[in-house]
Amino acid sequence: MEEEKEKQQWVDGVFQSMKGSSKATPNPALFSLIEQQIEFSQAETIPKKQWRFAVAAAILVLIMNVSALILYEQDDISSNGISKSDTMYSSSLISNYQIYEQ
Amino acid sequence: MQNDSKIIKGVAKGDKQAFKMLYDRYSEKVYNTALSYTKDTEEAEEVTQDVFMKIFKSAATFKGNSLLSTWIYRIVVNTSLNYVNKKKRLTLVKNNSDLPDVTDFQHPGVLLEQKENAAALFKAMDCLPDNQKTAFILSFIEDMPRKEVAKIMETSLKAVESLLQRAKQNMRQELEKIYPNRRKSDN
Repeated sequence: MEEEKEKQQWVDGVFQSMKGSSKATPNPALFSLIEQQIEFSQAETIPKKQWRFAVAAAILVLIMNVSALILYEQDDISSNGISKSDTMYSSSLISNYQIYEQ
Repeated sequence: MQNDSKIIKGVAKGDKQAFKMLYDRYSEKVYNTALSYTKDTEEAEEVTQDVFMKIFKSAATFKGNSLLSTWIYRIVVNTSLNYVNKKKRLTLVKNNSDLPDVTDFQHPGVLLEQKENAAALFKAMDCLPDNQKTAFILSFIEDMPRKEVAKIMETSLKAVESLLQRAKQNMRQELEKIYPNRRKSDN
């Protein structure tokens, strides 16, 4: 009976144990860490924009190069019927394989 | 002294001075609430960082339908619960068994003569489900009026009182289990 009373008194005491306690304070450097985190998260958005611009520029250059190649080939064929490159590589040093005069 | 409404509007515009004022005004409250959940000073600082990051990013969404303090406390409660529950899940996966025994938490602000009892209080709080734990922390540890607790928890005053009654009942049962061990250590 006595023990039960003591137990309940102790439990009541536990519930009151935070009364009169002071507030804990965080590390004084915490605000600087938060500021750094904010700056870092804001900086992340810039490279993404730059990346998109770089990709768009690369695609544009590729399209221009492909167009230039196509136009060059078309120009070749339309002037001779055959392309200049074909003419150049089909000619050989020896035309009739007659190396001695007859 | 600037009122909360002006400060949060400043933060929404990205005003760093306003953000510093907000931090000075609320960091202790946020940290102490987080500490009651995490029972670890480093983890409480991590939660505090997360809370202020969220405040900075979502300041523009604060419409003034509640007090700024209510809004901030909601963020800290949700962030703390998510942090603690995530840590529990990771610990269970790692250990593949029940939660490991942790050493008693010594709150840094507790009076010397109350340290042992306060450690038992925080240990007993572990047995509570999230809503009872939140109601208990805000009412008994943060010493907030029940009406304010109801606003933070977005519930009725009656519901908060019911949660507190059940929380105390559950904690009492848990403390009665601890009592025999306490008596042994006294002797």
